[in-house]
Amino acid sequence: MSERDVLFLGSSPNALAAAARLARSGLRVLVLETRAAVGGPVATEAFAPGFRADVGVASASLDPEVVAELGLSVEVIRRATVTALGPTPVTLRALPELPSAVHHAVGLLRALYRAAPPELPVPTPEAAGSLGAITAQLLGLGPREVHEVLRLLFMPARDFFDETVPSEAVRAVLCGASMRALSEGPFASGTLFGFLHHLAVDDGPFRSTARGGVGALAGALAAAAQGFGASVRTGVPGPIQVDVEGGVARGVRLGDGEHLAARIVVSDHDARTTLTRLISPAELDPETNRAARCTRYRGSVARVHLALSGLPSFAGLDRDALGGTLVLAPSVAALEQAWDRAKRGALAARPYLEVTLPTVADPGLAPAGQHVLDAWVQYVPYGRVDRAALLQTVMDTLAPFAPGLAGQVLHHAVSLPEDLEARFGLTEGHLYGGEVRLDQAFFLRPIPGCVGYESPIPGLYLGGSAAHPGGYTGRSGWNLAGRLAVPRR
Amino acid sequence: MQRYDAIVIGGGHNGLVHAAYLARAGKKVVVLERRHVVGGATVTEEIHPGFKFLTGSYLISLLRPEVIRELDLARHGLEIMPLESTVAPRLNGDYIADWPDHDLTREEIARHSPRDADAYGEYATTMRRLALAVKPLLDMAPPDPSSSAPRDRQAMALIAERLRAMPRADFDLLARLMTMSAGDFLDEWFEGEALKGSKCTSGIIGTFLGPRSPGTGYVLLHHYIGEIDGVHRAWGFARGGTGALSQAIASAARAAGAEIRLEAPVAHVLIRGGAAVGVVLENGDELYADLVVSNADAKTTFLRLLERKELPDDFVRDIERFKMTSPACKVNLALAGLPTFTAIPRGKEALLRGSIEIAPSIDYVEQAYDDAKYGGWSKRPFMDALIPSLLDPGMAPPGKHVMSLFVQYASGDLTGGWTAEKKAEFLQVVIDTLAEYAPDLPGLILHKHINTPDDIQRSFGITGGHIFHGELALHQIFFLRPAPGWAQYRTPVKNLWMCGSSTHPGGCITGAPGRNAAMAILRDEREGRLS
Repeated sequence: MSERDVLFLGSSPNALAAAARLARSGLRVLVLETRAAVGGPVATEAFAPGFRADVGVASASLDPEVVAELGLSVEVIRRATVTALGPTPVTLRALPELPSAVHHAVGLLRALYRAAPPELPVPTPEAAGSLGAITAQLLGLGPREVHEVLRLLFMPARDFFDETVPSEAVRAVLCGASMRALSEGPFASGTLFGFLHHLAVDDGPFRSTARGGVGALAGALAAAAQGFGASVRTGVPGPIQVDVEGGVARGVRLGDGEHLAARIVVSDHDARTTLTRLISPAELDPETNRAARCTRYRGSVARVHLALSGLPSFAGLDRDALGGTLVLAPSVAALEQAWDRAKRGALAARPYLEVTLPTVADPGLAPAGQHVLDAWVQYVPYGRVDRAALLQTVMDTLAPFAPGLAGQVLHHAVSLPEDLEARFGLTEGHLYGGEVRLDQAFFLRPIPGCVGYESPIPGLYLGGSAAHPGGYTGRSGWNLAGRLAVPRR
Repeated sequence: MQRYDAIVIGGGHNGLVHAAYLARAGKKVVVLERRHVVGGATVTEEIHPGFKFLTGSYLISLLRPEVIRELDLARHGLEIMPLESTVAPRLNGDYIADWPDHDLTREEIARHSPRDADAYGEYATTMRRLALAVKPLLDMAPPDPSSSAPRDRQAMALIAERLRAMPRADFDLLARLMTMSAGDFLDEWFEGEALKGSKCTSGIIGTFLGPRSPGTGYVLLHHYIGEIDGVHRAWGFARGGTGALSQAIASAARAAGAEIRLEAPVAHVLIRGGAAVGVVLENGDELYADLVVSNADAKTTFLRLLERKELPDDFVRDIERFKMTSPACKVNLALAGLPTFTAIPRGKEALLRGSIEIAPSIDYVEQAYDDAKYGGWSKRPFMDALIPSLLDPGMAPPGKHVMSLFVQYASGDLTGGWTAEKKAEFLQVVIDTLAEYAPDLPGLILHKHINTPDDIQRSFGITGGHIFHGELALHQIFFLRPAPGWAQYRTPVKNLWMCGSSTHPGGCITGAPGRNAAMAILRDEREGRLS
């Protein structure tokens, strides 16, 4: 009889939400994190003396149900404006008017995200019931809307925004938000799904963080989990291996040789890491091996952080706009062209940038009077781009809009996809544990054949951003915990 | 006044198939064809004296076997010669080929990569299984998922039943293939760039996407369905060219009693009280019928042959947004002799009797797409070439040859438009590209002819010159083709129907839209729903 029920490997908000829910239901839970702080890539860390920033993902929102159920109190900071930088900056304070089908599609995705993905083509009776309810929700929209919603799911982002948004600058902003963390251009089929997904997990064009950075979200969840009796250990010696005996997961072995037993082991890591590094591939059948190998990660995002001596001045932007997100995507074609370069292993001369100055809303992240500039840079092909060249490209791209910026830089930090991989243990540096795209979503996530958060190894589960629905809302962990808390049959 | 049971607008192969089926059911049918010849884009034309050019479609790929059988096309002169091989020459002097004979193909792949040869068996069986699972969808009127009508419910239930019967691994694979790129899919199976280059082309033909774009996996599967019909590989060439197929179908239609009028362009559809009652020809003649069935593309049918006010606003918007930007050109060359492909060794000349693909790698094809997708053309295009005169000597004078080239990509939305200079310039790109593989080819050219998307629009009346009457994109197929809610060959106008490639299952020489539409009409009649 092991001394604990559930062990979590990794501590993203998904793992912590699950840990909290399971501890609340009386299970004995231990969360293991090899890094110094919880959160995984939902991390706010010092990148220069006195300067802190969100160094993994650039934003995160917790699922409202998780927040309410766990009674979390975090101060959310929402970036209320999105400004398309260009000859004439265009500032958005809300999404432009889009067809109602967009909102209905997002509502349906949210409903699908609230449960484990159904096993298809033959769902369990329970899953069939919830699928039936979602189908009824869809059909209730009436024929015209049903058609429109289903059509949206498969559309290229470009085509949809061409149909619906008159302004090229705004179309580019929306296409950019659709393509986040994807190795894909907006001309390709199915890319509008990226936009719908980001809206469904409340991480659309108007991104949000928390006071103190996204790391505060993980901190609040860890505190809640501990409040319910879960243990959280950081700085655990790695590498961690899952103990598999007789084909069943029995616990883990830490880097210093310590064994920890548990009835259930939940990996918060991506599928390839979990199935090829945390366990021996020899434990897997060839099909699963192949599926883990075929999953597409292709990290394409670099993170650049600048410590600034003062607030930079962007031509034509007031402080309000500076507190929001600044987007550099001159046109939809320019996004596609940036991808054209990246798919051949090169960085575009003018990559897609989402820039924030988090210290405008949250001055505590930098010494008084000084500021942080945070840039999300895409597309940066994994393992192919030089760090200095990337920094120079970002500075050159921003220079026309903020001529004084270069003179204000005190420190800089560049994280290429390979740096994100090394720091957070993300395969190919993909921030969300595998691209969230139609062929890697729902019952195909994290890999085909592993639905319901189960791995092929009894006792080992996949519950992180790599699992349905993807992202750091806590949802995948919450869903998983819902299944684990109620013993199946 | 002339009265018919049905008027078919356009004598393309689907219009002819449709007319034949209606006529066989005892209907008085007339087909109105704009040109002097039937077939639409399925036509053989003697553009240069003695040389028969395939100015539109060139291969019989997915022609439904039931159409051949039920219309008895063999008796009406159709002779299909199966293509014996596909070869993709490479600039390094090598080539990769495949044949209907699985073992032969496997050996050829092994020459390039033993690992790929091992994977090939499983790949071929898997694709065959998936294609078989999807195939029945081609022959049905796509059910509307929002509808509670018994017809739709039954069809949905049938599809659900078939899906539930699939092994889970196949279902997962099908779901992935439908939504991923042909390139990524092939990468999962194979390592050799020659093999992947040649295979990826099935995912992009007629599609304005590159092999690395999601959505092309579906097109790959769509084309695979053509490979599972019949005893031989169904990709074949009709003796006399594709035009001979149209002639055979026309003959079958006439034999069943249909009337076919040439040089009878329709100006517009006549509407009375919200229902189609006939058509007006460009010469002013009026023809009346209980049903009007359009073989023209959706944009031509609804935006040109009808007035906006006859249609619901939503529907007009749906048709306007239907994507029909062509990515392809058709080139024909009259040749003084057989060109020599440097990559094809002595003793292997029989490979020239098959399909010759210029697609040396996925990267090559992707670059071709990238060059064209912003309103340009490929500096080195993907090409699917055929030398019909090797299969059918009647296609060219003795000792001489014709070469038919499907060329992609060249944007239908070419920046600056397809001027005569641009046309000549791109034709030269095609010849220069070919010359890299067959250096003696330019010296053999007696006559060259190109149909750009603009020309295809002009000569065949297809909007945007799109060979499939609208892109086979994921959001334009099945119940969404050509407009959501109007995928069952009916239209918002009573007694007006569609039977062309803008409808399910889309383009290629399939005869399926024509046949499916006829089945839908006859079923409605049986069930008393036609007034």
